[in-house]
Amino acid sequence: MPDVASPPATDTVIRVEGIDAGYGNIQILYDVSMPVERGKIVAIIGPNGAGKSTVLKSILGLLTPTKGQILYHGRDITGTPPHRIIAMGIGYVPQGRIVFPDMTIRDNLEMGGFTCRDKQVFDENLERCFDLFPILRDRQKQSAGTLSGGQQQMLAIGRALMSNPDTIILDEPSLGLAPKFVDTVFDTLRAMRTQGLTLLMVEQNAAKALALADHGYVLEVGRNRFEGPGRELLADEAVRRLYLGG
Amino acid sequence: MSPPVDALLSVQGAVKSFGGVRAVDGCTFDVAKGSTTGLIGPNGSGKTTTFNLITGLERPEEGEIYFEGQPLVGKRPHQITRSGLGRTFQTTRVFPDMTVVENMMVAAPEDNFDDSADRAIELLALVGLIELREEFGGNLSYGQNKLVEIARVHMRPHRMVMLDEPFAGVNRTLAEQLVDYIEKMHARGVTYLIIDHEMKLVMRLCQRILVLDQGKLLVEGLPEVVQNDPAVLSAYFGQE
Repeated sequence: MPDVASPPATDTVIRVEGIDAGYGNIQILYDVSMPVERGKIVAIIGPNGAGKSTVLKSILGLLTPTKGQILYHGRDITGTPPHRIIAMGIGYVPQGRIVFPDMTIRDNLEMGGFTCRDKQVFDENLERCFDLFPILRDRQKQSAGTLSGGQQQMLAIGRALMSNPDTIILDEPSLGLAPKFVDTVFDTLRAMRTQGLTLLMVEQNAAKALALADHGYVLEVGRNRFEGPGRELLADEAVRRLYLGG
Repeated sequence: MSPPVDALLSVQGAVKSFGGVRAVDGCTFDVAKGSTTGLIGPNGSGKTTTFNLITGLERPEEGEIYFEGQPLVGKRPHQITRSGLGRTFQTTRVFPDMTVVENMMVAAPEDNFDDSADRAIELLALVGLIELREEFGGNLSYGQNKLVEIARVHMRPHRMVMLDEPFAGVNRTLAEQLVDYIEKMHARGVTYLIIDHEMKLVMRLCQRILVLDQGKLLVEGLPEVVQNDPAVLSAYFGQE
């Protein structure tokens, strides 16, 4: 047996370290730190304007922090452009489940696999995606616009899986979905964790997100305020009161 | 339905749909004369649409709205402004190539333009921007722009002013200046209805809080009562 490289000493997949970030003159994040452990579901919650989406944009390279750094498997990815970050192994499910409505479901999935140059790997990714969401296999020739909101969210998640990520970032996966579809989406996230994926999500339904999450971070006006196991944060009255300025 | 006696503004059963979504769904509330009232609620609860219905930017499919006992539905936005009800918007629109004073004077009442420079200076002093009066709008920070816009709405002697997210994107120092300004104008008799997500400031500034959820009034009451209401908490925090 040839020697294999030893696994990294840390089990931290993404490490956000002391970042400041914002838009133009408006600073949104102040010294935010957020390690994300391998194989865990991690939720970022907080009232409006807390900076939740800004953290995601910083990780994805849509925004470059003015201070601090972002590590992915120990490697500094601060300021790396989004397409390279996707190719490195971070998948992205944008807010509002933006799919290409006039393209077929299969074409939408192919768009997600644009970083993949190997046909065989591509086919494997597609199969895995269809196994997770059989409805997408059944309806792959239909245009994505014909899917229900919940199914479009499945497609958006499936598309993120096509770049073969080990980590997926989800921005408000439950937003605008009917309650029964919200449960379906959350069941899917659970199934993805079982497959070893790391999930980092921002979610407006804080109660649901914390009930599912292994770990949660609570932001308030751009700063780390609380963190801990999801269930503990869920039971913490101080976290709830934060939403109403208490 | 008829207007209530002591309410300055009365919204009665307002409905407004966009596509299949009833953004405002039978919304009913009053704003008492002389009060500072907060209008809060989770994202998408219908707050800004309610503002748009009141100020004539959207027309309700059902319901009535009264200001000082006069029906507003069917009136044009400029008619509503002239009747003494002003508002600001989430996005600021300060003219970049005009000075701060000129920006203020744009909003002067057409029948009393002569006094408008004095009025502008007085308001700028109150909001704490007097040193910037000759600065071009384009040279101000985002927060300073917001303060100019909020000061500007008072160029008319409005009896009521509605502010849509006045504190969003405004740093703490400027936010305190703004709180101070609103309190001073309130003491001069302006009634306020304020949408904002900066809960600490809203709860401090307002005597009464209205909570919208899914286009309806969920709860109304004193700040400390609303803050501890389980229905309000679960509207914001979600449910498992």
